[in-house]
Amino acid sequence: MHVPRHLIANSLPRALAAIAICLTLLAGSRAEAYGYAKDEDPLLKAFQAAIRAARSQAWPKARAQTAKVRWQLDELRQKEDLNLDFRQRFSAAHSKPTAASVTQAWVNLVYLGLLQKLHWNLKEKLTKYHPSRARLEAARAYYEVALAGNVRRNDALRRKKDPKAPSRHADVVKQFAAAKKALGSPGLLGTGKRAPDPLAFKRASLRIAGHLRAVFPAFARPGDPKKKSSPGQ
Amino acid sequence: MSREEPLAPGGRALRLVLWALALAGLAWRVTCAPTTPATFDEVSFLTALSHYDLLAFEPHFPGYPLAVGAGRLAAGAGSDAPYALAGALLTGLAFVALNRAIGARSLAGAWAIAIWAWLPLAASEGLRPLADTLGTALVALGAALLIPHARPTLLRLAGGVALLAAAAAAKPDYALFLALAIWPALRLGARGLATAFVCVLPWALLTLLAGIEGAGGWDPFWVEAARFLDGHLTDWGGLDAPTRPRIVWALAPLGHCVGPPLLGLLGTALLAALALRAPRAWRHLALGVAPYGAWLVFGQNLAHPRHALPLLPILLLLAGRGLRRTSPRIQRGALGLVALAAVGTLLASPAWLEGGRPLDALVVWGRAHPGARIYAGASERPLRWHLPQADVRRARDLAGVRADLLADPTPPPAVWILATEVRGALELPQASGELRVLILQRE
Repeated sequence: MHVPRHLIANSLPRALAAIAICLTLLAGSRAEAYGYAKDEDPLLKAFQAAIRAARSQAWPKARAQTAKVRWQLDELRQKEDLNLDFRQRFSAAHSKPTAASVTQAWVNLVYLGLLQKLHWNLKEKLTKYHPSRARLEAARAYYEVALAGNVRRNDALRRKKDPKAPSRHADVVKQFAAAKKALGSPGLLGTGKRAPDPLAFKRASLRIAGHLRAVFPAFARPGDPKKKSSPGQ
Repeated sequence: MSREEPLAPGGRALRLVLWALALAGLAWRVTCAPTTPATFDEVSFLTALSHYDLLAFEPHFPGYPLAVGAGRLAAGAGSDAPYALAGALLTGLAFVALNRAIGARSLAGAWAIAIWAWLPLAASEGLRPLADTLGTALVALGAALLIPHARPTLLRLAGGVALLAAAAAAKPDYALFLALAIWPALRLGARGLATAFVCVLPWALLTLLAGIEGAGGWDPFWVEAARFLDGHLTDWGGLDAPTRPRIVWALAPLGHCVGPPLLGLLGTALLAALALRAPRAWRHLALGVAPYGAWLVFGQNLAHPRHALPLLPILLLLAGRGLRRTSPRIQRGALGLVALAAVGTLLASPAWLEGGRPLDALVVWGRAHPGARIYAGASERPLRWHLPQADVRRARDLAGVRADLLADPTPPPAVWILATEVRGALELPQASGELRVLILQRE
């Protein structure tokens, strides 16, 4: 079959463009993160945007971020979730905002997000490896981005009084490693498979929660008696 | 001169010396291999020994199931450097195949494997917990079976294709070396093509099933595949705008492979000149590596010379065959390349061994400054591996560091930035080695 040369000349750029479009579609939107995509976590993204806004006292911007985490606040108050209604306290921090009140409310929310991830892993008894691992990775990211700085400061303060005081941060990191080990491993096509250990996970989770409770005593947390408290306390 | 020369007097002893040198090179890799990671990918492969989770980069997509499986076997046998051991064992087998393919009783065969053992690129990669050395050995084994024969057989084709498909199960982009089998398969007709297909299928299924299981299902596997393809094309691959000018880097690793850079380029030129003397029928090997060469230049991360590694045994196959067609004088002169490779490796090796790697210095600094926050690029992950309690964060550039600090509820008064990995940090005052310091507030 004879194909005119000008037809080839006209079609070639189009064909190349079509290949480029297919590759782009296949690749989807530009990847900013891979794997468990911690950098794309909506809670952390809103948290960081809100802290930046609070720093520059751009309150409308800080308030705009609260709408982006409404789903998180709604999830937390479910009975099967943490059964904690944090909405009022969270919005109160943004009604007469100060940098401290907004920051504290957001750190508290991320803290609750961390507890929520551990809670669901315990509730599901680690039966599904990948969702459990995704939650644990998210919990660890929450700790590192929002909470670890205060835990380290707490360590430094306690060590001023007692140089031999054990590091809470070191133990939290150790417990996250223990929790990861407790997830087990799906193995490589079944070989090297390890079953999860929900009890070990619970022990590690309780230790992490205990350290955080000690460092952030004023934070709203599940199991608190229902009371009205100011966000800045 | 086109005819093949007989062995020069004393050739047998010389061959034995070269073989001993090659095996010593493998033993050196196994005994000196670091047992801790120094790069992002090394963390991936070391953690994959106990977990197989592609979404947690244990290892990263697409899973490298054969390499991880071999590493797990070697670790189960008690090796502290399981990937180095598995790679060295396979490379030993590849030495035999390469030697046979070039000419079992020729000096050129022993010459080629001695160079392979001591090339700085091959030796340094052989130490690392990665899939490249194992995969390269499988590529060499497959290529050695598929070299031109007057009458290719189905058995040779099946063996060669199965080995190349196994190489792809160790490192999936090595699937492009299956192009080496196209010509022999076509010569055998429909039966050849069917045989090739049957030999590829089990390895392809193994890779796919392991990948799907490692990602936790088909959907996350597909999402991760799309992300990695995008990354290769736009983020770190050769088509990425900032890396495109570095296309020449794809050739530089071959120059670097035979010793110090300038001498290495000269050595590579000599290897290439010898390869051009290989019989005409062997040149299909060069065509067979063209698809991988194109991927190396346009899709791979050119910052890592290791991606050029599988081209070396092919180059040596051709160069060794070419050497056989030179005079005994030139053959003896070519021994200088072995010396050059060994000297290059011994001079550079302190920087590859445990304690001497660039990351090791950072780890020492981090241990001495436990409260310091460090921003790094790809080194963030190995730093966390070595210093799990340290405050290490990832950033691409200085703007990213500043944005992260602005979003931090408890920003430290100063941070340290790895200037070689975080763009724009070179302008900051030097703190220690490659570390720059960014003061946020005076205490």
